[in-house]
Amino acid sequence: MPITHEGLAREFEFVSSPGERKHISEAIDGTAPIMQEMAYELIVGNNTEVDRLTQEALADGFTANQLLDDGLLNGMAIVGVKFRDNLIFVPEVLVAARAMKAGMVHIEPILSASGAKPAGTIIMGTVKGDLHDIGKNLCIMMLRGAGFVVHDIGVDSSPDDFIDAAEEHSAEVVGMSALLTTTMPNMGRTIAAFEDMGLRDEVRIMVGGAPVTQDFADEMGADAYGDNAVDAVDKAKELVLLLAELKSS
Amino acid sequence: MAEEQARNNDSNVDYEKARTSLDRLYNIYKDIASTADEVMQNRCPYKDASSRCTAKFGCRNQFFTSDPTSLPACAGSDQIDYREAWDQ
Repeated sequence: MPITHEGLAREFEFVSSPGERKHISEAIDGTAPIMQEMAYELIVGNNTEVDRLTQEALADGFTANQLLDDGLLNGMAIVGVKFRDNLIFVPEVLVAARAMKAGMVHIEPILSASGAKPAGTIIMGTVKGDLHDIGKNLCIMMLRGAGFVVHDIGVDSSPDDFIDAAEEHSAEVVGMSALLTTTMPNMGRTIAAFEDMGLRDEVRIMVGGAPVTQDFADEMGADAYGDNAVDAVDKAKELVLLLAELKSS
Repeated sequence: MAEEQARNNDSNVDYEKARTSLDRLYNIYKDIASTADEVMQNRCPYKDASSRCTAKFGCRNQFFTSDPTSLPACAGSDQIDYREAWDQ
C-alpha cells in the first residue's frame, strides 16, 4: 500500500538509496493516517502539531509502541537520511528533535508506568557570557535519545542558574558548554560555586565545547570532559553510576 | 492528566519492544551527531537549508533584509572558518 499522507509521500521521495527506501516504506506502509501525519509533522519540525497528534492518538487508543514506531521514529528516520544527504542541516534537525520531544513528553509517563527508569537527570547550559548553543543542543538531543531527563537552562547561564536547576530537579549531572575562550573560566567559577554551597558532592560535573580540552577540564575541577555529543552521553552514564557508588559508600 | 493517561495506556505497552524502538532512535541520533561533526567542519551549524542564520548572537556574515521579522541571510562561503566571523 503506498504512503497515503501526501506530505509524507513527498518527504519519502528524498530517500534515494534503494535499501533505505525498502526499509522505510515497509515501516510506513499500512500505518494509520494519524501516524503518517505525525511522522510528516515531525519531519517539518511542527512540534505543536506533533504534541496535538500524540495526545489525540493516545486518546483514540493507539499504544505507546505504535506512536513510537509508526509515528515518531518513521519521521526521525527520514530526518536522519535528509541530513546525511545534505538536504537539511543542523537547524532543521534540532527543530525536528524538538518535535520528537513534544511527542515523547506524552509517551515517557507511559513507559515509566511500565517500569522504565530514566538513565539519569542532567542540567545542561552554556556558561555566563556565552550565547552559543548548537553543541549543547546536539548533546541534549543525544542525551534525551539515551533516556536521560534533561533540563536545558539555556545560554548565558550563571553559576546560580546551574545550582538552582540542579537543586530543583535533583540532578545527578550538570553539563556546561562554552564556545569562547573568554567564557571558559566561568566553568571553573560555576564549579567553585557548587563547592561554596556545599553541593559539590551532590552532583557530577562535565564540561564541553570546541575550545575545551581534557586538561582544561581537569584544571577546572570537572569530573568529566565530553569531546562530542556521543562522548557526552557515555560520560554522563559513567558519572551517574559513579555518583550512585559514591553515595552508597 | 499525564499520569491518568499513563495508567490507562500502560497495559498496552510492550516494554521490550519500546526498548528496541528507543535503541533505534538513539542510533538515528548517533548517526546524526556523526554527520554533524563532519558538516560543521566547513558549514556553520547555525546556517539552515535556506542559508539563513538561526544564531541568537551577532556575526559578520549576517545579512539583514528590510523585513525585521525574517532571519538574516548567511553570506558565509563555507570555505573560510565561520567561527572567525562570530561576535566574540
